Amino acid sequence: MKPRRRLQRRLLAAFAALTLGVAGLFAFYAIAFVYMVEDRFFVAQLHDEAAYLRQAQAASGRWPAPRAAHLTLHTDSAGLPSDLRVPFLAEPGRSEFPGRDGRHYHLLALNGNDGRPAWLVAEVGDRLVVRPMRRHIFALLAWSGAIVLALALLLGAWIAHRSSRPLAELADVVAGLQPGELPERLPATRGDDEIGTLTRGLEALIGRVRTFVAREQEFTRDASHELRTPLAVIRSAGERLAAEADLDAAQRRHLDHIRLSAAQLEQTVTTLLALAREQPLAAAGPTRLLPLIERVIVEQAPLIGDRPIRVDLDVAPAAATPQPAAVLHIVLSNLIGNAFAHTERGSVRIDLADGTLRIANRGHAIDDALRAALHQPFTKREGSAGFGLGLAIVQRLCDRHGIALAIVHDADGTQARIGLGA
Amino acid sequence: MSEPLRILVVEDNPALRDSLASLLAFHGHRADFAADGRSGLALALADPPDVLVLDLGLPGLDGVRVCEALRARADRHVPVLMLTARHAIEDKLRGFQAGADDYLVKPFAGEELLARCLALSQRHRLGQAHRLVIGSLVIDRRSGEVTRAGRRLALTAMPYRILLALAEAWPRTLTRSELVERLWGDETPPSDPLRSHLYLLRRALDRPFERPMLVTVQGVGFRLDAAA
Repeated sequence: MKPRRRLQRRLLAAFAALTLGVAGLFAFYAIAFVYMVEDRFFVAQLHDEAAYLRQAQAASGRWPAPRAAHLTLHTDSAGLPSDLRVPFLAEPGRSEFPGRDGRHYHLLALNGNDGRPAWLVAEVGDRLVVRPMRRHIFALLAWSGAIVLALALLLGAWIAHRSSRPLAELADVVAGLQPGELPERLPATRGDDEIGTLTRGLEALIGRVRTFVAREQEFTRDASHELRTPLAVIRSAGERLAAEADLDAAQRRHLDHIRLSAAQLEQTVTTLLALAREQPLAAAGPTRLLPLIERVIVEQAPLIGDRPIRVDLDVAPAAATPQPAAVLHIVLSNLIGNAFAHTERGSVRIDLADGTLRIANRGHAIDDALRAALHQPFTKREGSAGFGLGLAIVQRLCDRHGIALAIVHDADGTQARIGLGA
Repeated sequence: MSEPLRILVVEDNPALRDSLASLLAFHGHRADFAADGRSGLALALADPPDVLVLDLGLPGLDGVRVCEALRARADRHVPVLMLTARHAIEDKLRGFQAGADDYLVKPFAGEELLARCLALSQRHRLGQAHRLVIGSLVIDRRSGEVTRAGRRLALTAMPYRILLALAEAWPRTLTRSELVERLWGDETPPSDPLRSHLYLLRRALDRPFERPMLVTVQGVGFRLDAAA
């Protein structure tokens, strides 16, 4: 919505500025024109009278009185009216002077035959045509200017709306695009203008993105499914082998490695599948934590094998979180499974404090070099079967669902902290 | 353990077929095998098995279509356990719509497969349905009588309900929360309610015998060991 409004506002401002500029210029011309016509009229009158006076002075040798009442002749500047004399002496070259009390003077210098200067003065204060109607003229200009401005704004709004509507619709659609649900067609594709070109370009881009997303999801899904059958074979064969009585200690150890690796691979496949899902899993309601954690402990217990490990669980039966159970199940399976698999002896403690679930194993530290690279794919510890990749995928799954995951290491062991927002 | 079943397995992966053959033979069941949908369907129609274990992703005729064809053409209801590599709910629904009775996602535990086959075969033998047999343990749901290795066990009400819940869940492990919810529903009693009842159950079920049948998993899970 934002870009559309800005574009429309700019168009309206441009229309308003142009209209005001044009109207102002023509109003200025009109007023200058009426004043100029009026002045010319008075000046022409003065010249007529001056010609008559000069003629009479040439015949009689003396200046006659001007024929009209508003005209006066002065042979000495001292005889000029006082409100004319002062500005005239200051600017002798000027011919028009505003006086006091509504008086207005036009002045013409005459050169008589005797060579002495004389001035013909017209006091036209009562004869001005423009001054009395100046307010009407300004009012007329003002309201006709306002009407033209309003019309210009209406026209501008119409054009702005018309030209920016397809763009705004396109912007709305593009802003609402979701990777999971890309539309087949965008609006306003028929035009051959810039918007049409833009739309077609976007459609082509969306098509490619859709293909990429689909291909990635299909690949992850198919890869995971293809892995399940071989995993079923490994698991089943491992179980059959374990049921046989005549295995020696070394053979049993190898068999345990195979079965543990298969279990972790199974976990990774499940996590990958959860990531490949187009729509994030929605929570059906609050997830109760204790039953879920108990279920995960039971499922991951085979990873402990015969090692002397104590599991301490301290989570209140009523504790719950808004996170979806399916996602939490995967995250907890990975983290609790890791804790079980990487503890030689000692304890694994699972507790809840201030909305943070903590999974801590004591008695088996991870070396420093590994810590920095812990979340990078394919980093793993000596003797680990899938620690690195597994944790990197779990991190991605957590990011996707807004679960804060932190792994902290100290001298005693490793602690995973999961912010559940409970 | 119980009477042997005739199980037909239709699975295209030779290694998994081989592994299942050894599992079923070990538990005394008679198993036939087919590697593709067409021959599997022919076998199932010619000589209906007690349970058909059917892979969903078969070459040629896939599991869903085999199941549909079987339901359309067989003269009796052959219980079908669908094996699927897909975990999505749509795949399960597709299987059930085609007429499958149960499904199992790969990879699965051998015990789970056996338990489901057994349950499916008994679902249609109504006379037997009230008897639960787990290894040497027999529970008669109608009379409430429990025997282990032929010896009658004296159980009070709550330990009997715990044992019944574990036997019905077998071979799954029940968690503490699941047991509490099953026994008391949402009204969870204040202190640790299971403790004394489990003690009484162990005294009756395990003390007279050499190996305990009730197994605790990390203090949070309980299951019955059929081999004990």
